[in-house]
Amino acid sequence: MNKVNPIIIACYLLFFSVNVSAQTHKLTIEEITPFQQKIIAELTGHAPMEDGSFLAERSSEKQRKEAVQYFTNHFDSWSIPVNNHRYKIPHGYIFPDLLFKPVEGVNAVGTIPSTNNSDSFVIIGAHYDTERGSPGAIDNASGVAVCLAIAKKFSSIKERNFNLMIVLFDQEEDNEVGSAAFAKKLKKNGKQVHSVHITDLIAWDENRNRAIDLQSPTPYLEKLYKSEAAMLHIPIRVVKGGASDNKSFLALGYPTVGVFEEASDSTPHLHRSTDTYETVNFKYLARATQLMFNVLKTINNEN
Amino acid sequence: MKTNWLRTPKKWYPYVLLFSLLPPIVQGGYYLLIGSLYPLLIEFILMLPVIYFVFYRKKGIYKALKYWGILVFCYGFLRIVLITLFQFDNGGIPSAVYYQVTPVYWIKSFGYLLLGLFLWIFRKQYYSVVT
Repeated sequence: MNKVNPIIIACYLLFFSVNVSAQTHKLTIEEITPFQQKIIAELTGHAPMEDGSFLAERSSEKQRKEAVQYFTNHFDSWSIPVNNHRYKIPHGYIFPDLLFKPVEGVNAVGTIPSTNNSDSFVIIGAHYDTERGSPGAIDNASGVAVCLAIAKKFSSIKERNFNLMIVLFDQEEDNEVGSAAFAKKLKKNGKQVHSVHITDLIAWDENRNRAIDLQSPTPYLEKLYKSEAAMLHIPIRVVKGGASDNKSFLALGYPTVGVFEEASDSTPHLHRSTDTYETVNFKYLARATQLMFNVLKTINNEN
Repeated sequence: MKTNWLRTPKKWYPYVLLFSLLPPIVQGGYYLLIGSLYPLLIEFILMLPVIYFVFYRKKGIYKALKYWGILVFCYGFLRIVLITLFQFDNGGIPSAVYYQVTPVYWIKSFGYLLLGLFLWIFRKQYYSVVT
């Protein structure tokens, strides 16, 4: 007669429960890609938005307002509290300041609160505005799609040891004024920021080497990204400087990392009308999303 | 005999001058509220001669109308030149500026041009009323 050992049953159950838990918090390419395809299609006018309208670009005040509403609807649908940041700032140059109204914009902000009352904030961000006349699929609906995919998944994690702030910046194309205003406000409010992860131009990989550029990471963030990238077989190249909204946070001394496609293998459609949905490499985009999500998961487990 | 209304001197011309000082004060004040002092400072410096003429010089209002008329005209002219240039080449223009060039902006710019001309042309009539 077969006698079942209760220890073996307990071990099996334990393994099974851990495995299920790990699966729940895993972001797969199959899960990410259809979601990101929908987001990028709707943000670039490739497909209609829910109300049937088309958002061909995101540069005028009206278009940017529609985009913010779109993000707010998504945050709401995942029960993520929204606290959009409106700003009004000078142009910073004599003639525009004497001849025109100040610069106005809105950063779309959703915050997934920690489940243990932590004061620590991790910020992920990407700009949503485009150059005039460009649909901005890679620049930077791709970065927005990364942030939204992470936000959706992270909001379903039961134990969150930090507050995850998702910030979709306005007016990066106008000297990063949106992120500069946000970083300044963050500093003024004295929030405890663990790290800032900015992504921009993250969907082009012509040489198919999967490589990602990390821009000006702190040693801790560099180590973290490299170790997670190794598991996903993503080559990492560390470069200096700030080419996007990461500049605004680096300037104020925040631990920041910029996550971009390789500068040497970047979209040739930048700021052009040809920066369309069709040029997006969704597999590369999904891998970058996985990388950033896994980094956040590791930070979550460390805290 | 019919009199030409336009050629009849009016005592309210100084009020037009006063009114024309308001937009730059409002614009400067607006910038001050968002933390930038220099637009108001520049506008105040440009207004100093008006104050000086009105309070410290003979035929002060006449001179103030003349000086301020030229300045308002130049302001309107500069706006029109700038936005006309935008029509030919707007590549390097930030979107925050580009999208402010609406029909209302054009109308306002022509308004400044006409206001400047008004102040300049009718300054003599005002002077003939008070002397």
